[in-house]
Amino acid sequence: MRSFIFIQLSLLLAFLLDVTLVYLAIPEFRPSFFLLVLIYWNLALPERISLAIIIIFGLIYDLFQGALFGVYGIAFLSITYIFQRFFYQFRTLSILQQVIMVFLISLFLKIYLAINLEEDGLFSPIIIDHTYMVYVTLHAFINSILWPVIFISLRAYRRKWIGVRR
Amino acid sequence: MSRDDHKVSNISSDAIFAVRPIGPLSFIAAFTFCFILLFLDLKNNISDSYRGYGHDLLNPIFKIIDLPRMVFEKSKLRFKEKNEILEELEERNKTIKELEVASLQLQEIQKINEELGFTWDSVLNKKENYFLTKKVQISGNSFNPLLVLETFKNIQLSKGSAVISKQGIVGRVSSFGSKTLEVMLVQDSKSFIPIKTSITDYHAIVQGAGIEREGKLINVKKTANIKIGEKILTSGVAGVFPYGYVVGIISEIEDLPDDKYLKVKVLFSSNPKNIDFFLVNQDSKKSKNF
Repeated sequence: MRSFIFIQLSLLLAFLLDVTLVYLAIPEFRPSFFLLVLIYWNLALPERISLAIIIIFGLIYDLFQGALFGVYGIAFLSITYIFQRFFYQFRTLSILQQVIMVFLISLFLKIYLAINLEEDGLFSPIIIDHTYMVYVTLHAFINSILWPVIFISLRAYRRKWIGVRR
Repeated sequence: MSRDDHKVSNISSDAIFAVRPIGPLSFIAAFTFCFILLFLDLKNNISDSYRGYGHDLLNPIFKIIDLPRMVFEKSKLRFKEKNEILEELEERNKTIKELEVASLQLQEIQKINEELGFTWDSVLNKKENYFLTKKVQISGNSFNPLLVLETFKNIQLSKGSAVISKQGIVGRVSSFGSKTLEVMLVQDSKSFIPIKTSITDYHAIVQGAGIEREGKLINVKKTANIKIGEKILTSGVAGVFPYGYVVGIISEIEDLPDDKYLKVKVLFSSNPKNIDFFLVNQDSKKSKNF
């Protein structure tokens, strides 16, 4: 129960950080702290992750970002599934390899979020343009740069407050 | 050691110290739930009914986020005032200082009044049908930007109400709660506005392409006599947007030989990032699809 509360608390803080960045009108390349924190908990304590909470956060993001209901939920669940499935492999990767993985996941997530489901045709040409691709790449780059910081901070947080060492 | 904590060997009943991640069935259930939500929303637009209330719930978060900035600004102001009074003690007395502060505040009020005046002046007809409101924040992604405005309890709103500013048409109300309302901006890739050009009187539809991006005119025939720099105004067709408000200017016209229509780009006149006050039309016809 203790670990559950502390995990949700860190996810909530990450969400608030994301909201703050939006509020400060930082462009599309702003980092996604929630994504990084979610990845960390899936790696560190995969059995303590609650899918219901992920869906709830997904819905909050849908409301906040003006997306269709379920879009962010599917994205977060997909990331959770990938990391739950391969967390043993991912844990053994070097930090540089992890950074590359985070870069790719951030990139694909943003491209997925650009799909305009309300238009005819899955990939509407107006959705992904040159500027967006630059922003998306920058976003993925910033996320990957931040990953070691998030990883070390959350590991310290986990050891101090949750006390599970694996 | 319980079975929930670790895998347990079926042969020896010893604990196997391996982490048991979430089972595939839970994932299937979660994905199914999300896909059902998505398809329901695609078909019935259920999110439009709840998004306004969602912003109501998120509103306190923005106030909390803004708190450190407000405290910093106030403390900075106090520190500045203190220093100024000390420096000017010999030259000016306290009353003059207070008058200066009052004057500054008056200037600030005057500035806001001017902006409000410009905003009100932008209404072309039936001023009583508009109500003035303030920006809460801009969210959403770059293709579907959302403007969140304050609203009041006694205001009768409907989906599709036009939102204008001193710069022209801003968008239309897409969802509303009790304290906030959400505006789909003209720059939104889902936004279609019937327009007419100011000089050549050519009727067309303008579609957004995202914030800080140029929009485009749809299905403009090659025979159209439109010019770069020409203003485009709302045509009032379909009754969603009132007639005659500035939408933007034509920034580029391209005549591609393999295309049936002209490729016309539009620079939108309104940029909600730079404006604080908006007017919402309460008289707009309910419209969902435009």
